[in-house]
Amino acid sequence: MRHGEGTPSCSTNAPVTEGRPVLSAAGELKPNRSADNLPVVSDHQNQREVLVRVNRVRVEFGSLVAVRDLSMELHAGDLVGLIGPNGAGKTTLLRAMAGLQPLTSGEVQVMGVPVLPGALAALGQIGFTADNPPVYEELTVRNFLRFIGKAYHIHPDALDEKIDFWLEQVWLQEKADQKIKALSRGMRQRIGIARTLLPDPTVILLDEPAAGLDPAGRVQFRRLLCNLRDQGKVLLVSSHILADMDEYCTHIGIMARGELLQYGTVAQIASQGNHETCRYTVLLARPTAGVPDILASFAGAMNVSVERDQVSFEFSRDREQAAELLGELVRQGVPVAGFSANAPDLEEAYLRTGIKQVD
Amino acid sequence: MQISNSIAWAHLQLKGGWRNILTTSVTYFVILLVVIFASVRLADPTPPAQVLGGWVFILMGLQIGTLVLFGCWAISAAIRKDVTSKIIESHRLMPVSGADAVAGYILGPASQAIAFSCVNLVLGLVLSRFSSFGGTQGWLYANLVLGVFAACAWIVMVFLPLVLPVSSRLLIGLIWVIFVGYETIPALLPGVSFLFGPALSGSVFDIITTGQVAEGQILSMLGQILVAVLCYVGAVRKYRRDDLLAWGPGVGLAVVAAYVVIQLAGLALWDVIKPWAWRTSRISFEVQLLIAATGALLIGLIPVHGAAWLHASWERRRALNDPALNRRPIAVGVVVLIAAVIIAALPALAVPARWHVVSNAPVVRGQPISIHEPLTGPDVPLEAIVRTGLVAAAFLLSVSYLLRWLYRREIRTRWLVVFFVLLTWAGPPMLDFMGEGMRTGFESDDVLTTRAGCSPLVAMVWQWTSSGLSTNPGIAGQWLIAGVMGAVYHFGGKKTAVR
Repeated sequence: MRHGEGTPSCSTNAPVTEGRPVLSAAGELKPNRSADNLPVVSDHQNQREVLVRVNRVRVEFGSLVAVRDLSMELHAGDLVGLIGPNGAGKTTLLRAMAGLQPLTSGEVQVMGVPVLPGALAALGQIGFTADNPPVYEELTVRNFLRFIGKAYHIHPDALDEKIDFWLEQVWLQEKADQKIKALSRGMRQRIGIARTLLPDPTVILLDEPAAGLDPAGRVQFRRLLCNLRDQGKVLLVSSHILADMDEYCTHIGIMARGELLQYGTVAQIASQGNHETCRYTVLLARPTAGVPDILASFAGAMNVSVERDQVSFEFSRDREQAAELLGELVRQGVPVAGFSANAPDLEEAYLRTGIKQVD
Repeated sequence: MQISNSIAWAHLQLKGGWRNILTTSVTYFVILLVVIFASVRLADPTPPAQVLGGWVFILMGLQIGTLVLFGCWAISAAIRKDVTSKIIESHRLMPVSGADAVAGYILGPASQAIAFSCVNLVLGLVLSRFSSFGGTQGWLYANLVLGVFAACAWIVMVFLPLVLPVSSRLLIGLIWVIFVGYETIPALLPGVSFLFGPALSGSVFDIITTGQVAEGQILSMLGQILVAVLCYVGAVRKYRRDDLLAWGPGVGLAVVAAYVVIQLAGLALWDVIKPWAWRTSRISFEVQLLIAATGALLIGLIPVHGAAWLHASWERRRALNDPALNRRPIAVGVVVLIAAVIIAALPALAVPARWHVVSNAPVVRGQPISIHEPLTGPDVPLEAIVRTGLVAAAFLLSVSYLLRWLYRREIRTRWLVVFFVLLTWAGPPMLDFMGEGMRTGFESDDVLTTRAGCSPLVAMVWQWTSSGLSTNPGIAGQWLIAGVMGAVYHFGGKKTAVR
């Protein structure tokens, strides 16, 4: 089961801007009434502390509006996946929330403190990992993290212990005394993650954190994120690896052209816009010809795809109709070894939005 | 050894840490000691005290090289590297105050230079004790003056890479090398000479021999500290975030005031602080005053630019119904007015200050000093000061409207401002040259009419030289230009667009 699925107490605070859809407390998308209702529609079932408040943030680069009047509230334990095409404004939003990107208008607050240049109290609570984390290449991994620890005023007696802990968490303990310049891109990515987590920030912003990680590293990283989420931290993760986000995110935000087009729990987003049908997979005992023709004879079965001994198609969610279809397949002599209704898929949901790549 | 400043600590580690710095410093010390010992032995029968005296001068040269050249290079290179590698963004995320960060950028990268300079200091102290100078006072004073100069230069070195793009730095560096090579800038802008006292005029070598710090050197140190403080403030702001103005309208006005004070000191104390090349020759006071005042017009653009930028940014936020809209920034007109008053104070105070110095110390370094025509007394006509202020106000107001117009339309090119300044300064006299020249076949020397006074530069020249031409029509023309720019800004085209 996906995290957040069947847990209505999860935050469903949707960003609201004028004319933009918002998520109600029940998790349904409704038309936005007015921007005057800002900052957000609150989730009355959820009394968790609001740790991050993004209030009508707008970032412009000349005539390009990279982030357009975006608002959201994030609560303790929220792990939000930010997806969208290149140029959608994900990185700009993360940088704006980290205080690195000047805002044309709007405000970001962390634990009630505006994130402004020099707001040290707010900065101390934010951790941000860029997609290509900058490091001092001439330093060893340990010395680089010592530098970070000093900057965040971690007590010297506890610093080495914390460094060892986080190096272990990102599988770098054996590289602790190597110079960073000798490490691969994936390892540098892990150093960037360790750098972000070492000061124990409350708000963690990660931009494409898994891009350079190997498969084992991604598994480890997913566990790490779930662990942080369960500690009550706020995490906002931008990524193109939707299959991963499907597993660890509590919420998903889909961005395009600087706007947050959809926002909700993973289950809500995955099933968004398609309440009538779902995708079924039929596992065959052996590869069999003619199954697509049989399916085509059923009204409502569509988008059939065959891969060796596996047939998948879209069909009505109605269980009676599904049982009828299964019975017909068996009657027609199809060697059905398995029949299952797939859980709503984030990738498909994203593709259904019709968002195109921004040039 | 524990260093609490994280950025200083990181840069120290990048240089190999304490162990590396100590090793290189001890090696440097031993090499110097061996060479000095050998030179004393080889110079026999020259008295060792005399040889050691020569070594004190050599060590001062090394000290200048270490502190000023090596130290500045190390700091500038460290910041440039952090900016280009974008690790400075990682630093900006850290809860480290801008003041601490700037201090770290000085202490860390310059750690090797500081260690070498300590070696020089100790060696020089011992050598000067046994040298022909017979005392350590001169060596210590010279190091104090040089140390203050180097510390201020280091702060400027943190400031410049954060503020200026590489192309601008190269251009400024080129102009600097050309003009300082001929000692033109210090001569035309006496404030520069005043600031660069240790390098250009009564140098640190003089202090070693005399054992005394001249009054001009002490004032020069105060001027250096003033510049360093302003650069420190700017560096702290630019470190915190790249998009912030290093000098907003408030600090910008302080920069104009600091410029005026430094130029005043330079003009008043010119005969004390002038560079070696100008020790025997003279430069007209009125030329120096004119160039200093013209420079003040350009420096005045700093607070005006800051005010225009803040105003445009605030207008944009208001148009977007920004929920975090701050209070309205200081009015651009008020900044223009204050800047114009400060600029007008330069000639108003420079003449009596110079007159006071000349009257009280007519002989400097054995040479009589005199003040040239048309300066015949300490009094400055009030109308001349008012006209200077009007020229400054009209010019700054015109540019402020241009900047606000450009920012409102999100046109970020600074070349348009440069073009506008060139056009308004050089355009009117060029028109006269062309018009009158065509008419007289370029045979007449006197081709400028009152129309040329529409140029702030020409108006300033006429005001502070005995040209005989009235500046009033020109000043009226400048105000007309300001009015046209204001009309274009207020009535020309759309207001801030919301996309």
